[in-house]
Parts: sequence; C-alpha cells; structure tokens
Amino acid sequence: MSRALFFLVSRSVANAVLHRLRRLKQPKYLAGAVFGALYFYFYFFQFLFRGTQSAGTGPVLPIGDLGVEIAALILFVVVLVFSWLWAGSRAALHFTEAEIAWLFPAPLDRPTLIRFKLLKSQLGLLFLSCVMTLISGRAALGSLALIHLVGWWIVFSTLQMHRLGASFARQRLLARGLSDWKRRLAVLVGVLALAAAVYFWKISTPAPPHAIADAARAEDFVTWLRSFLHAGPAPWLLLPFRLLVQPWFATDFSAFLAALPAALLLMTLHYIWVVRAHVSFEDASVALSQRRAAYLSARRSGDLRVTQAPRAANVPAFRLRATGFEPVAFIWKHLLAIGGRRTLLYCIGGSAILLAAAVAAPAFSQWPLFAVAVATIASAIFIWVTFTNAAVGARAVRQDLMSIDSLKTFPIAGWKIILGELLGPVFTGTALQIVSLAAAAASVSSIADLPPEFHRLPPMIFVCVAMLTPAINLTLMIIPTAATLLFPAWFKPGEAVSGGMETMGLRIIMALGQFLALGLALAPAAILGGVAWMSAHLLAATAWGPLAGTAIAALTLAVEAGMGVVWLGRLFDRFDPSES
Amino acid sequence: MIEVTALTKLYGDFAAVSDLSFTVHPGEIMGLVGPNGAGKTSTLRCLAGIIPPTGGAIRIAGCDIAADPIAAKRALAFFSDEPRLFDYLTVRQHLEFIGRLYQVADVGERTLQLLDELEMTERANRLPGELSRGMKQKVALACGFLHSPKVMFFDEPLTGLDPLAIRRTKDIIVRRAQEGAAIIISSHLLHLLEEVCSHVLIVKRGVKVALGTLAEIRAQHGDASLEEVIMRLVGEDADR
Repeated sequence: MSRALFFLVSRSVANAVLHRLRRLKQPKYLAGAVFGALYFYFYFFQFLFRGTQSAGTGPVLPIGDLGVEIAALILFVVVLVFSWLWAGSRAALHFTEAEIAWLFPAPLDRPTLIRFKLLKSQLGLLFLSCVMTLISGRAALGSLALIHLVGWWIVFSTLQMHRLGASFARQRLLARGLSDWKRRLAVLVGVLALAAAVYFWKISTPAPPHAIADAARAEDFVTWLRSFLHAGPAPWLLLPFRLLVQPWFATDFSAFLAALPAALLLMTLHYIWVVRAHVSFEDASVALSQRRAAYLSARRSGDLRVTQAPRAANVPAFRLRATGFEPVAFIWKHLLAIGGRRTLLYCIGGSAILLAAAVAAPAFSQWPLFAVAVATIASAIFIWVTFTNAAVGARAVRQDLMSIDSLKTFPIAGWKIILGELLGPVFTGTALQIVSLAAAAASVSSIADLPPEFHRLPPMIFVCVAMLTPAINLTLMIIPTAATLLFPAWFKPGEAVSGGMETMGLRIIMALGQFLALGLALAPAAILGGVAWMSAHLLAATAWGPLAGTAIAALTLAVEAGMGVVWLGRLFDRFDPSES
Repeated sequence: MIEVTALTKLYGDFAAVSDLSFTVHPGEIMGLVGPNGAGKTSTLRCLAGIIPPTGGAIRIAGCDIAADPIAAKRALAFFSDEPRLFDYLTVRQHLEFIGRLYQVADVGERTLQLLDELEMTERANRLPGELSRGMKQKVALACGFLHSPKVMFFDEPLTGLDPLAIRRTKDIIVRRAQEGAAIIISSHLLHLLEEVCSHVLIVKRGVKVALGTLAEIRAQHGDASLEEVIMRLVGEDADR
C-alpha cells in the first residue's frame, strides 16, 4: 500500500491519542478518565488475569464440545442474513468526506483504496475485540485472554471482509440481471433445500422436547442438537465457520496454534477475494459518506435520531390552545417530537396488549411461565424507563439550548421553560412506568407458587410506586439539567458521541450525582411518610397506613422537585450562552 | 422604542461592548455596523435579553429588560442569522407553539395572515427539513412577527438568501418600521443599510465611533458613501 496512506492512518491514530491525552488537562476529562479507569479496573481488569473461574458461571446447558458447532451455526446465520439476504446490491465502502475529497481524485487504484479501508478498519476491530474479550472474560480468563482477543479479531476481521466481498459479488450479480429480490429468493430456496436435506437425513431423529425445564430434558435437547448438526451436509456446510471460531475455543496455547493456520487461511482467502474484486464502489461510497456526514452532524448537534430529515409531519397529540399555562406548549412540542398522535396510539395499543396479557394470566394457569414472562417484560420496561427517562429530559433541555437565542427571547420565566421541557419526558415516562407496573403487579398476583400474602402485596406496591413515580422522575432530571446549565462547556450535545473512557467516567459521575440527589430528596420524604404511616397505623385501619405514608412522601418529594425546578429556572435566567 | 444607556459587556477582562448609549424611536431603522469582533452580536444579544449585560440599562418599549424581562420580551423579536427551527414541528405548528408562548389569542387568524404575506400558505404543513434556507428564514420571520412586536432585532438578516428573498425581506423590514416598530439591523451589507436604515451606529472594538442619521454621518465626512465612512473610521480593524 502507498506509504502516504500508511502515514495517514498512523498519524491520525497518533494524533487522536495525543489529542485525548492533552485534553486530560481539562478537569472534566481528567475527572471522567479517573472514574472511567476505576470502573474498568473494578469491573473488568481485576478479574481478567486472576486466572480463577468463579463458581456457578458455567454453561446452563450441558453443551460440552458443542460450543464450536453452535458458534459456527450462529456465524452461518449472521453471514447468510446480513451479507446475502438482507443487504442491498450497491457495493459501498465507508469513507469519510475528507477521504473521498482527497483520495478518490488521487492517483490510487481501487485495490489500494480497499487495502487502505481494510487497514483503517483494523483499529476499530481490534478495539471491539478488546471490549469483547473483557466482556467474555468477565468471570476470569487468566492466560486465555490473549487467545480470546486474537479469536475475536479473526472472527470480526473475516466477517467484515466477507461482508465487503459479498457486497461486491451482489453488485456483479445485479449487473448480470439478477435483481435483489431474485437473489434473495435464490438464497432462500438454497437454504430451504439444505435444511430439507439435513431434515430428511435425520428423519429418524426423535423430535426435540417442548421444554428444557429440567436437566434430563436439557440433555435430551443437546443430544438432539448434536445429532442434527452432525447430520448429512450440515458438518460440511459449517466447516468453514467452525474453522473460523476454533481458535477462540482453544483451551491452551498448543490447541490455539493448531487451530490458527486454518483460520488464517480463511482470512487470507477473503482478503484476496475482496482486493481482487473489480467492482465500482465509488458512487455508492460517496452517497454513503454524505449520509454518514449528515448523521454525524445531527448527532453533534444533539439529535440522536438515526436520520437527519424526518419522514413526515406528525399530528399533534392534542390541540394546543392559544392561551394558558405556557409549559403546556413544551409538553405539546415534546409529544410531537416523539411522533405525536401516532406514537401515542402505538403506546396505548402496546399498553393495552400488555395489560390484557397480565389480566389474562390467571386463565393460563396450565402455563405458569406465561405470567412469569409477562411480569418479566413489564418489569424490564419499568426499569428501562426509570433509568433512561432522566437522560431524555436532560437531553431535551440540552438540545433546546442549541436554540438559546430563541428561548431567551420568550417572554416566560425561566422556571416555566425548564418545567415545560422536563414535564414532557416526565409525562411520557410516568405513563409507561405506571402501565408496566400495573401489568407486573397483575401478573405477579396470578403466579400460583407465590405465598398467599404476596398476592395482596403487588397491588399495594403498585399504588405506592405509582404515587411516587412522577416526583422521582422529575427529581432524577434535576441534576443532569443543572449540570448542563451550570457547566455548559462540560456537557455539550456534540460530546455525547465522543466516546472513550472519559465519557464513560463523566456518565458515572452524573449517575452518582443523580442518585445522591435522589437519596437526599428521599430522606425528608421518607421521614414524613414514615410518620404519616405510623400515625395512620395507630389511628385507623392497617391497610391505609402505607397509602397515607406514600401520599405524604410523594407530596414532599414533589415539593422538593418543584423547588429544584425553580432553582433550575434561576440558573436558566442567569445562563449566559456566550460562556459555553 | 429602544433606549440604551452605558451598555457594557465584558468577557473576563475583554470588553466586547463599552459604554454604548443610543435610542431608536418607533418607525426608525438603525443599522449597526462594524468590523468582525466589534461587538455587534454581543450588543444585539444583550438588547434581546439573551445574555446579561455587565453594566448599563436597556429599556424596550418602556420596560427595563433587567428589572422586568418578561414584559420587555413580550414587546421584542430577535432574528438570528441562522434560522433555527424545531425539526419535528411543521410551519403551522411552529406558529401555534410560538403563539402559546406569547399568548397570542388570535393566533389562527394571525397565522393565516402571515403565511399569506410570506407566501408560505402552501408549505404550512411542511417540516423544516423539507424547506430551503430562504423558506426557513421566512418561517423564522413569521414566528417573530406573530405577536406584533414593537421592537425588532435582525442579526445579518440576508445571509444565504437568494435575490428575490433579499428583496422581500427588505420590504418586510421597511413595512414593519412604517407600522411603528423600532428596528436594529446588524449587517455587513452596506448597500442594505443604505437602502433601508434611517440611522446608523458604527462601532469599533465595542465602542461607538459614529451615530446619527445616514445623511448626518455622510455629511460629517464630506458626503462620502457609507462604505468610505466606515473605511475611514474602522479601516485599520477591517482585516483583523
């Protein structure tokens, strides 16, 4: 490859590293880097080279040596779907706008451009391999860490080259008159034919068990799967994929070295396939680069949607009257931004299905897993909304601060603008939380194996949590919003995508701040709520104690959140955009 | 009316605006001129209540913007050089939203009038992503005019517009002044200022170097053109 291109890659990497190191002089990046490093150390590194396997981290299924076959099967499906079935026909390589502006008109042939692209992408693949090694080695890898790292890199690198080679092949097929749908149909027919061949080969194999609830059945299932994967053409079909993942599964260095040549040979064949392809990728690459630049520009300006231009105008969720409480206008705007009436209808439909499933759970008593599944899904939605809603609110404020010149000229007190910005996400988040909580409570009540007193508990918990949720949501939004207003240079919209250990550290600091603020706000609410609970317990019926206590706690928390909004409003009024 | 007394804006030790005083009466259009870094945008942003001044007093339509910002802001409109619109609000929805913020009771009627005046009726249900730069500028103008402001600030209002849009924008600005609005325009386009402004304020490094009607200023410099006057007064700063 041209020395100039190698220079470009190496200097870009070196400069990027230097830039990151230099910006550690800024307190925010230094603090973020320290917290990020501590997080990485305590979560990953201290386990990585310890060389001990934690108890209970073994596989749930007794798959034994079947791991290689299963991984090969997964790879086969990934390659089939993403390279041959799903993908379109235009061969496009990801180049930046600068690369297109300078490299495309330069005296470089196509293979050189492809080699440059492959070389550059190796950095990202190596980083991804490191991350995957850390994740897959969380339970202690010891000396296997290096094997896993190289194993991941071989898999990712070959998959990337296959995707590229496949895109070239698809374009050639298109040029020969095979349209996308014909090609997809041909691939599908081929796959079905292979599956049929394997099926008929193993026609005598017993059917798989319906459930894998106990160990005996699980072993039955594994036995069946093994016989299926070893039947007829299946082993030959999966052979290249097995060779590719074999190094990752090596348990020692000698096994790794034995598996390495075949995997490297596959990589080399892919490399030759890609570099020797004579396909015009320039047009599609330019278009891709422009789309990518627009996307990145939108991300830098705080817009986290996938595309820059929305597809169609949204219908408002409700009619906005010309006069009245001004923050309502911001709620109206927020609902429009997330899809307006259409999204509202989807949410109502989804909620109705979830609630119907929860209510119907007792009718499916012969399938106890049904109620467990509904409760799990509902709880997952509740937890997800709880942890992400605060970020949504803070992002709304941060994004609208991009239009600070307009916001500041509105004849409205700062607290009303902040309240309006935050109430939108509070409203939508709370609605989702209450629906999911109701579904969780209803479905848990119908799980027969639980003790009887537990059946009375979920409805009570539901009512109490539902009362507290809006105020908790608003409280959780105070700290990230305050951080944006107090330290505008620290929390710029564009930096949300910069990534790296420092960004992770900053997020950890923010999360700690949020939960510290919530803890501080909950203390008086808990004290007052506790007093109310005890008073109700002593004076009235027992069942009303928790409700009275929660109502007082929710009111206290709401007052505190309101005070927080007023404080944020003052910060907004004093906010000087020229200092950001 | 816009009344500015001893306006000062400091960024640390750097004085972006120093001791600036002037008045713009209803019906007047004042051009704010100066080289890059002269403090024009800082001045406009202070006047519009976007950034707080370090010192001095600003009265908009009789209201002190520091003491009663809400009342002052009700009377003003600020038009930035880049029309910043909300991605997911159509043209009509922008006007609805702004109408609520300014409590414009007859927002529906005003919307129809403005859309018609700005020839945007057919695009009322379009999103900003579907509009050209000039169209976006028109949406920003419509939003600004919706509450019939008595005071208007334009920061480089003709940036990126085609000749037809430039002509229309100039006409609109002049018409608002004729209807009694006090207007300040910051621009590098001297022909625009000569064409539409009744008064000119020339600033250099945040300090006022000339203020008066266009005729007065030209007369003070031997009936020279505005361009020549500016070259004489701020020439050494022009390439900074």
